[in-house]
Amino acid sequence: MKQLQSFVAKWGIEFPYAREELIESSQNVFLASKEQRERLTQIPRDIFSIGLPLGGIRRGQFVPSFVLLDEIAARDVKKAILSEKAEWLFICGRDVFKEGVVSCNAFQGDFVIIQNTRNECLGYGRLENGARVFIKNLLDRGDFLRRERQAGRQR
Amino acid sequence: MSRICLKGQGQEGSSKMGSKELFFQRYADLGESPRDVRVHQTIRVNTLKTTHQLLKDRLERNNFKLERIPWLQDGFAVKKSKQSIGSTTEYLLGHYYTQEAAAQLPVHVLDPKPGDMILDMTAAPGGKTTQMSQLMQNKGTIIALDLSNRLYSLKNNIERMGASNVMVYKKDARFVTDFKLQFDKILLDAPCSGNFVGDREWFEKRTFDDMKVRARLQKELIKAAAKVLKPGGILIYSTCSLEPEENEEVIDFILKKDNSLSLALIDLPIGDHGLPKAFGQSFHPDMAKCRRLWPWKSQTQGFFIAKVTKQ
Repeated sequence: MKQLQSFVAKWGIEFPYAREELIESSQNVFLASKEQRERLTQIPRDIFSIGLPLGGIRRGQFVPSFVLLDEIAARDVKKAILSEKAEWLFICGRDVFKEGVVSCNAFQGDFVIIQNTRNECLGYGRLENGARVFIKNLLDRGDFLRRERQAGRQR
Repeated sequence: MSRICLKGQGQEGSSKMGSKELFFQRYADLGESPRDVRVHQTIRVNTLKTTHQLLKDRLERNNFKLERIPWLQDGFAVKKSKQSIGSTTEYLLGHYYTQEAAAQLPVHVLDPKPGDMILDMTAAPGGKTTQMSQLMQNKGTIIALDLSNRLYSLKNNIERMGASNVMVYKKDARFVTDFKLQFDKILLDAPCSGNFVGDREWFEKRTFDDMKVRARLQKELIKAAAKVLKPGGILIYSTCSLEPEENEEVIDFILKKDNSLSLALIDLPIGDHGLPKAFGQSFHPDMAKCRRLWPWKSQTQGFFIAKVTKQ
């Protein structure tokens, strides 16, 4: 829970959830409805996931879910909009070069929500403004495919 | 399990590896003219996040050609594509799920409504679970159970598709009575031996012993489902198997075991009736109310659906 709050605080916005809406289970935090929370008191054991995941600990670090990133992206935060070509490269896990950026209101060192030209959240990064890399990819939607590949290897 | 003998083989043939000729002869013995089938990939539009037209326009701009499947609410066939349909921005945004056409039918027969309390007994990886969330408009509750490593895929798909009304438990569905709950509707899309469409090695991989083992599990699962179904409730039993041992025989078993249960007619514009008998065994007289999809007729993968109601 602390890591979730700390992650949201990095964006300079108010925490968007009421404490009672959040359920922690197995190093993950979930956003659960009132009905689900009541149901959980009836069946508390062996819960794996409830409502929508907001994020969890992976390899010792908090990794936000795209549900959480979409919520952050809906607020007034630092954003970069990518061209179509850069959109696909970013989703494939690549960093963003300056020529791939259509617009950006972030400064060096800022965390920045990455969007396409339809204002859809593709992930997030950190503005480096380096000689080559303009925005470091910290998480992109291609993560869904990588998680599936990893899950397939574990079966 | 009753003795279903292979024609000309007797009991000792039942453990041996199947072959295409052996399985096709089985289907011919059931009155069919089996042949190889190639099916198009299909998707299900996620109406929680987009509309049919918006998605069609976006994908067609990226050189996909989509065709509406008339007997499905949200299904489109992918007729042409220059890239994998499973790796587009729209897929990653959760605008659709790659779900075979026949596999979209059981949830439509179940007809989940906003406010229902639904049990999804073997939910992973979440195709039918997220389909139910969509039709329920994320209202009501789906209790989704599974035991396998595919639970992680289920969680990922819930996140990707924005299915917010699901509670997932790592639980063997045979012990669902532990929850001390009853359900309006239950989906038992049972683990099965599958079918040859979409798996070129299916004939080589499958043995008749596989089917016996699966049929035992299927019977245990449907017994558990019957115990937690509310009076007046609906249980949909489905498999993607063509084998009567995993389909009609399982339904016949539960109807004989529990006389509060009966079959309801499944009225679909596709598929055949359930089999009244197979390999010398006659089934419950209402078995024709079930639905069977033979691939060479429906141009889909094989499927079986039964709609069971409780008095």
